[in-house]
Formats: sequence, C-alpha cells, structure tokens
Amino acid sequence: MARTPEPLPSTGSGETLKKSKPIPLWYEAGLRLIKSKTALVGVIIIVLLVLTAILAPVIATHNPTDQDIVNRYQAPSSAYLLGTDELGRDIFSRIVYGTRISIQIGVIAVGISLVIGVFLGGIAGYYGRWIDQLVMRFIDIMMAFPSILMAIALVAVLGPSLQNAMIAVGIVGIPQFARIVRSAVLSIKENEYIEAAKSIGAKHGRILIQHVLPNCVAPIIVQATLGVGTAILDAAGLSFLGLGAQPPTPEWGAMLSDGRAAIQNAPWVVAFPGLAIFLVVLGFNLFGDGLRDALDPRLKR
Amino acid sequence: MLKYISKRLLMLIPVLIGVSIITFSLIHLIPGDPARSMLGEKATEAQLESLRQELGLNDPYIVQYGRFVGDILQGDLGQSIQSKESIGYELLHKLPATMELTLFAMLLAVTIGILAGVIAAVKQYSWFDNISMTGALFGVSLPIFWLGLMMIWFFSVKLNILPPSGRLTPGTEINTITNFYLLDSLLTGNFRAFKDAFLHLIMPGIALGTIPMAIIARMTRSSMLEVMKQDYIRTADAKGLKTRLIIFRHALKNAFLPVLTVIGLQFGLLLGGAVLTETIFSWPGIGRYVYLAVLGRDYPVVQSTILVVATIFVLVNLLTDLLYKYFDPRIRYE
Repeated sequence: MARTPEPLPSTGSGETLKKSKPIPLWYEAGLRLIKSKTALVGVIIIVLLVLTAILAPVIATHNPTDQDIVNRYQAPSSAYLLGTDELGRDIFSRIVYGTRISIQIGVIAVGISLVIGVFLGGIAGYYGRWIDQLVMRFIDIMMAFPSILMAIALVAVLGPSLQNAMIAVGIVGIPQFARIVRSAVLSIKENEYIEAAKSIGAKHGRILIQHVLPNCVAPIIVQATLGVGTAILDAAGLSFLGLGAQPPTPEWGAMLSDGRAAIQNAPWVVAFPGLAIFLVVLGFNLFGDGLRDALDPRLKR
Repeated sequence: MLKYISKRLLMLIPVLIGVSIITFSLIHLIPGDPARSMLGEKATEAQLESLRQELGLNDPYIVQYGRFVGDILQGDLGQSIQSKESIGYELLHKLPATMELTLFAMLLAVTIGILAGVIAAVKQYSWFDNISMTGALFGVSLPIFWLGLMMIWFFSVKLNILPPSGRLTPGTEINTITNFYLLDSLLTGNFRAFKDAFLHLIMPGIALGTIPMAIIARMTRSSMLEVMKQDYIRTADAKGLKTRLIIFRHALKNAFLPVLTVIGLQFGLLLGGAVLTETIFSWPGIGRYVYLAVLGRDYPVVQSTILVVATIFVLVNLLTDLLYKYFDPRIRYE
C-alpha cells in the first residue's frame, strides 16, 4: 500500500501520521452532533426558521402590515390561521415575516459582540501584561451591570429603535466573547507551533490572526450559536418594552406588547408571537448545547 | 480571612469607579442636546437653559464627573425630572418591593432548582432526569414577559384565582415597617394582608424565577454527577452509609460550590429581569421605576437606578466569592 507523503517530520517517537489533512476534530464533532437527538431538533428548528424567512412571501397568507379594522381580534380560523390583532392584521403572516427580523437581530447583535469581543479577548490573551489588565478590568466593569438593564439604559439614551436595540444587545454580549477567546488564546499561545512561528520571524499580528485565532474557532462558534438565542430573547424584551422595533414592524416582542391590552378577550394575539420567540430561542440553545458537547474533546469516546 | 476581605473590598474601588464613569457617560451618549431630549420639542430656550444649569451640563466633563461622584458619596442621587422628588428617597421606598420579589423568586429557583438537579443526577437517565432537564432547557429559552402574560391569562382571567397585578388588593390595610409586605404583615399579626401579599407574589415570582431555576437545576445536576464519581463517595457507600446521607452530606455539600457561583450571578439577572416582570405585573419596585423613567426620558433616574443596581450586583458577587472561600477549605485566604 502506498503511503501518503508526510507533511511533518517524524517526531521521533516511532509513530507516523496516517493522514495529511488535520480535520479529525470537525469530522468527529460532526458525527457526534448527528448522533445527538436534541441537537438535531435544534438544527431542524433553525433550518425551518431560515426557510420561513426566505420563503416568507410564499408562506404568508396575508400582507403582514395590511390593516382590516372590521376583522380585528378574529379568533384563529381557516381564513386567519392564528387570528388577527388589534388592527385586523393577520398574526400568522406577521409571525412569518417576523422570522426575517429575528434572524437580522441574531446576526447583527452577535456580529457586534463577536467582532469586538474576539478583538479584545484576542489582544488581552496574546499580549498579556498591561494590555490584558486593561482589557479585563474593562470587561469586569461591563459585567457589573446586569445585561438587560445595561441594554435598556443604552437604548434609553440612543433612542428607541430596532437598530439601537441590536447595537445595545450586541454591546452587552461583548464580555462573554472576550472572556472565552482570552482563555482559549492563553492556552493556545503556549503551543510549540506558535513558538515556531515566532522563531521564523512572523509578526505578532500575523501569528494572532493566522495561527492563534483559527484554533479558537470552536468555542467562538458555540458562544455565537448560544448568543443568537440570547440576543433574540433580549431584543424581543426590549421591543416588548417599546424600546426596540417600532410599529408597524412585525417584530415578535413588539407584537406581544401590542396585544397585551387585549389578553382577556384575544389571548392568541399574545400567545403565538411568544411561542415563536420561545421555539427559535430553544432551537439555538439546543443546537448550541449540542455543538459544545460535540466539540468538547474530553467527551471523546 | 479579615485580611482577605479587606483586600477584596479594596479591589472593589476600581470597579466602582469604572461603574460610575460608565453611568456618568450615559447622559452624554444622547445624540444632540440632553436637555432638549428630556424636556421635549416644546420646551423654550429658557426652560432648557434652566435645566442645563440645574444639571450642570454647561460645565466641563471633568467638573461634572467630580460633582456626580461627590454627590453620590454624600448619599445624594439627584432629583427626578418628572416627580421633582429626591431619587434616593424614591429608590429607598421602591427597593423593598423589588427585593421582596427577587428574594422570593430566588427562593423558588434555589429550592426547586437544587432539588430537581440532585434527583436528576442521582437517577441519571431516569424519566425524572429526562423530564426535568427538558423542562430546564425550555426554562432558559422562555421569554419571561410571555410567560408572565400567559400566566395572567390563565390564572387571573380564566380561573380567576390569582391577582393579575400590584402587591396588594386595593383596600387591604397594612402597617408598613420595612416595606417588605410579607414581613410587615407577619410582624403586625395581619394574616389577611399576609395571604393577600403572598398571592400577589406567586405569579411574578414564578415569572422571574424560572430562568435561574432552570440554570441552577442544570448546574446542580452536572456538578453532582461530577462529585458522585469521586472515590470518597464510593468509600462512604462501602462503609454502608445511608444513600440519603451520602447524597446530602457528602455529595451535595461538595457539589454546591459551582452552584453557589451561579446563584450569585443569577442575582444580577434577576435584578435586570425585574424590569420586565415588574412592568407586566405593575409591581411598584425599581424595575418599573426605571422603565417609567426611560419612557419619560428622566435620565437622572435612569442613571442613579443603574448605578445602585450595579453596586448591589457587585456587592452580591463579592459576597458569593467570600462564601465560596468559606465553604471550600482548599482555598486559602491570600
């Protein structure tokens, strides 16, 4: 049998490397992920969410912002699958279009936390000393504020809007990313290949971006997945308080808030948007938990 | 231990300075003129100038910050723009309502969470484990404002067995001593008020306590599973000790430490979650206070409340750390 050429010199321990491509972590992780039923449920929910967002115009039975006062507060029926709200808008169609907003919130808010958090955590862990001290004390201070309260305060000063809610939720998510990346970088930078890169004269920035950060991808992905769920939940909370999405945007938290006054006679106005938030957040939590278990090398069998 | 406590207290100072800087900066993040933003479009230039004078917005930042910190250190948290009352006074009156709600929610979360976590770990992979852990997973994904509204719909509208809002039924008399209604009614032997206050606490308490309960249950379970694998548990078992004794004396005592940290952290989440819960249940605490202030653009109230809550949170975390050290003899006070 022909042996594949070895990319690395033998370590001298007598063992030889069988494969040339170092991808077993992802391969194994993928296998373990498929085996986990809960993670699979999460994946299904997320896929359905994305499909609904893409196919919204096809799935929706009505225009999400069309008002029909005559038919306000209609109970769920074949004409209005999930009933109508206080302005006679079709709740099902609004929830369907709301998937687009939820994805937007998740991606943008987590994007903000991720970019800033990875940058701060990366330089803190890699450079250490006073940079580490400075960054981590700053993170400590940020964590002194309960996150939802901080987000409320930020939106209060920036002005209520969906955009500002996403920024606020993004900002309060920074500490988690920074801390996770910092601890990952701390352990990775002790590896021999980092020393090797240094010895051939690679610059710090290059080492950090090309060699250190790619090896922190696993915890970052897990945090990002779980973060999307939290971001959607927090942003919905802000919208519920009237600080996020403004009417007539079909955002789920805002829909709940609009329906609050009618809960005695038309509970469906509140029930279904909340159920949508719950399902989507659950999906990201299930998937995130599954990913974390799958990517954890300690759980290898 | 004393040396350690004083050292930790000293370490609080930079954090609290940072907290004060961030809270102070909030008002300067307002796009445009903060005075105009607070008084609205109709305000005259004279009114705006008077507010600017009052808040000292015309002074250099460093002077403003100095005054901000100076006032706080003297216990002056400023004046509400809407009610013209002293913010410190208003907070002091609203804090007991929030503390009562938060402590009740925490009590629910800790007792049920730990109990469920222990049973789930002891009977790993049983039906109880499956159901409680699925429940916990659902719990962390629930929007609490939705849970609150659905409870109101079910228990207040449909069944009419629990009051939908407030702390007491209007007309119920209570002599307030501490402003913790459960405590006050007990102290004065007013059992009618006690029952009424308790019924008002149930739904907000559940709404607020669900997420921490779920997180505590999951943490307890995984921490217990870790400990149950240890040799000393097997030794205790081999000695012939009763299972219950092993679980609660030997295992839970050691599994409790990570749970304690989570409880401390959840406290902050509760203080934040109180804004949503108090808004839904018209609970007259600081969460609703800050919400109304945000709506009314009463920025001094927003600033001071956040400063107070962050300070409480920092102190609770310090307390958690100290308890951690107290419970874990392996950690030395250095």
